[in-house]
Amino acid sequence: MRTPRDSLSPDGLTPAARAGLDDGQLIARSQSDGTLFAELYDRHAPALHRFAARRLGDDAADDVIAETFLAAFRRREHYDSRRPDARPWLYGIASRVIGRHRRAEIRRLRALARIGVDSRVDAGGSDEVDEVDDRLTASGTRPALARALAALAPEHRDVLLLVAWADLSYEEVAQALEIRVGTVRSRLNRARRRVRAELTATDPAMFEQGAPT
Amino acid sequence: MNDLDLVRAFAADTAWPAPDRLRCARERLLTAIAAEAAPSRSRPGVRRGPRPAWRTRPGALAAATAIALAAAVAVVVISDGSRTAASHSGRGPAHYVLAAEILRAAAHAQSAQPGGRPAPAQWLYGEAVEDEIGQPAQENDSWLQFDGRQSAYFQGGRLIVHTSPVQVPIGGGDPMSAYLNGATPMSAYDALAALPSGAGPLLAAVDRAIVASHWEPDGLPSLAAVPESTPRQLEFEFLGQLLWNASQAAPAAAEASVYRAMITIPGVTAQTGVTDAAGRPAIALSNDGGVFQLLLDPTSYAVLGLRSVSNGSAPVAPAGGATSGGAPRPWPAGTVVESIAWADAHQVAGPGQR
Repeated sequence: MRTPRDSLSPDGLTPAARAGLDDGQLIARSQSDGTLFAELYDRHAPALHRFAARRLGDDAADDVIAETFLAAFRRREHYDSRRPDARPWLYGIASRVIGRHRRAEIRRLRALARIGVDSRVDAGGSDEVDEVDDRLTASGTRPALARALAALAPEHRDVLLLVAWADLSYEEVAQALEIRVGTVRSRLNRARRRVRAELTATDPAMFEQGAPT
Repeated sequence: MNDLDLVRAFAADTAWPAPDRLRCARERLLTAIAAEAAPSRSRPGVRRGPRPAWRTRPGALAAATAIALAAAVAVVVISDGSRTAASHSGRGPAHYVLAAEILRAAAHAQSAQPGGRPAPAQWLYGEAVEDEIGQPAQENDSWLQFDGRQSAYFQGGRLIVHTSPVQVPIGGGDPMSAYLNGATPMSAYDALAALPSGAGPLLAAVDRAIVASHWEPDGLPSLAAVPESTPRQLEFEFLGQLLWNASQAAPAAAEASVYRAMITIPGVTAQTGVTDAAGRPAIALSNDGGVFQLLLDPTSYAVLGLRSVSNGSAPVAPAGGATSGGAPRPWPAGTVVESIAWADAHQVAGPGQR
């Protein structure tokens, strides 16, 4: 999803030229001109921030984003410039940074499990998501989901949320977390089983055929 | 609607970040970019970065270890490979005997320390040195109040002071719960002080804390790639990290009790003749064959730092590391993957003072 960008810093390339570079090319060129890395920030920071905020809240997300991009900048020489999309790399680093806030994440989820609603401002998601979200609220499913996410093993939660919230493919998650695709599948399966079990305990008819969707 | 759809919808109303939120992190990135382009003012081979070693944020777990390692960068350090060079007569493998002797000495040394509890608003200064394989070493100056309420660092020559909002106490006043929910020098001090003095009860308390919080070592990001620790390894790592988090100010008697308890953890080994991230001689204590190491000063037995060392199968390359073009691969055995130490740390009258 494209999001508003800050103005770009001067780096000798016109905005159009910068925009024409894929992430891999941008990172490769940033070896000699570090300011180009700011373009990578402008491209991906909003989505990464939202991902982190979804897990930890806005304030912690500020830190996560700063730490993620500082780490990425300092490791950019290791990036395989043949990869045109840096999202898996960035989400992998962000997941590690988020991992250090794990207890805060669990605390937040447990709070959601108790009260069932979050205090965030509605940012206007897609109609489809809004519709499901309304059902979550109406059915009281949200606390059960929060409980389920809090109870997941951290590595299972990472995989599940990279798939569900960051829209990474299995291959991209494997690349992000530096694990095999088979491991991604097995962790995702376990995470989903746990979520289903928690939701079924709350509403035994939730996944029965014919249940409201 | 399946379970994955429900997860997708969960918290989907999270707002996109306002430009102000993104600007701060962008400025930090630009500062780092500018610092890389500018000549270093640090000692040769070491880059001084803009990132604070300590920093607390509302709602964030501010474990000194985690914070000190956030966005860590550093220099290649290759282990000298010498394990337990000292040879000791006695029962069992020499390194176990050596570890017990070192831990006894550490307990004795700590019991002689004053170890008073600073006031909550006491400022602590720390100069952290962080090494990560494949990266230039980095030094960071930072300041943190004992209770973690305020933290400070220099950015672009300007002293930035953060104030965290007052946190709602968690855990009903239990010091260990408070530490697990938000590590600060003070919560680490209090968690240490609250531990029983006997080795058995102390380790039982640690086990309860580990189970209750699903604790796992999070101080060194490269350890994320290490296979799950055994319960005995977790005990050692938990205590090692607690000692590190309290290294600015620790209750002396409790610290001595921890070292005595470590003697009773099966499998703890010692490696002499190593160096910490600041290049000082150190003793490395470990309970997983040397992957997670607690570094002590060989003379005073003060906590110097932490590091992770590859055993040939773990850790694998950290994120962004030597993985391009193929699957992640472990570093050669003996390679120091990450190391962190306080080059300097002491109490000061206020932020910005050294």
